[in-house]
Amino acid sequence: MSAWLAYLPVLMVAVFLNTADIYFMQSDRLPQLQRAPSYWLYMVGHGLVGLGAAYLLYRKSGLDHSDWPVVTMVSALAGFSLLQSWTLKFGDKGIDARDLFDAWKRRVIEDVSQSNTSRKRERQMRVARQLTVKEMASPGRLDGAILQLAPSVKEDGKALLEGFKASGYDTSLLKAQWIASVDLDFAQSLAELP
Amino acid sequence: MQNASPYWLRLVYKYKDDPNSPAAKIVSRLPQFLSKGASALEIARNLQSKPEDVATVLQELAENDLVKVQPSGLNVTYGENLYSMTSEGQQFFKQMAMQASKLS
Repeated sequence: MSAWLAYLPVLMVAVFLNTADIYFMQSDRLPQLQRAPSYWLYMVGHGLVGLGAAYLLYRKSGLDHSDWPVVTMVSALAGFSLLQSWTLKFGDKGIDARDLFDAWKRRVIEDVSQSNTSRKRERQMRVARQLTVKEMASPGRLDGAILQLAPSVKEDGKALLEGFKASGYDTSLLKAQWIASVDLDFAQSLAELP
Repeated sequence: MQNASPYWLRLVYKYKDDPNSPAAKIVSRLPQFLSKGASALEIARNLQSKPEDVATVLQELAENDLVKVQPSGLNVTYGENLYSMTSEGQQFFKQMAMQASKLS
């Protein structure tokens, strides 16, 4: 086995473990992790830690490249688990890797949350536009959905519809935007109806 | 050397002191919505709460930099903003969860 190939599983397992960790710390089903620069930086950091640990294991502990499964497990877990709870103290001062990695991970989650939010905004606008077109083609089509959703936000559906009419704005657009804002998945399924 | 207490700790105690208030109940369930971005209206629907109650809580958290506000571009009352979690917010919600587990 080539020397470089022996390091590849380390990188893959380190990326997989840390991506899964980030994934389960947020609630979007399909987060656009790749859009967050801090995610890539975080992965590079963990990749380097894993590769460094693997290098030490291959070079200093006498393990051969054919032992790649053992080296992969140990070095990937070293970055994922051991390093994240590592603290070196001299009296009151020291290096707390756990705090450092926690802060870094929080930054990744913040960036991913913002990216998820931006994507949701784009989706809300798109679905609202589609619903507006449908409502304009057959006025009153969205009224049933509004009457159905209104009690779930402690509102009176009829009063809401009257409010939209009296607002002076585009009623079709207001109805569509309201549905998209309350329940985006439901709004999307309405927009996809023939 | 001890770290200074985080500035949002008074909010944790405020909600902890009255765990049955609508605001405390809303706060305890916010994290699941804030990592994907949500409006007050959407959160209210999921929590069976009043949108104005949710909006008040989110506003207070936003004033303390615990949630980030992005305009949604929609002309909908309580739906005009989307809220997401900040780095400080994650620590705040973690602390809230720890307090809740101590109480239970």
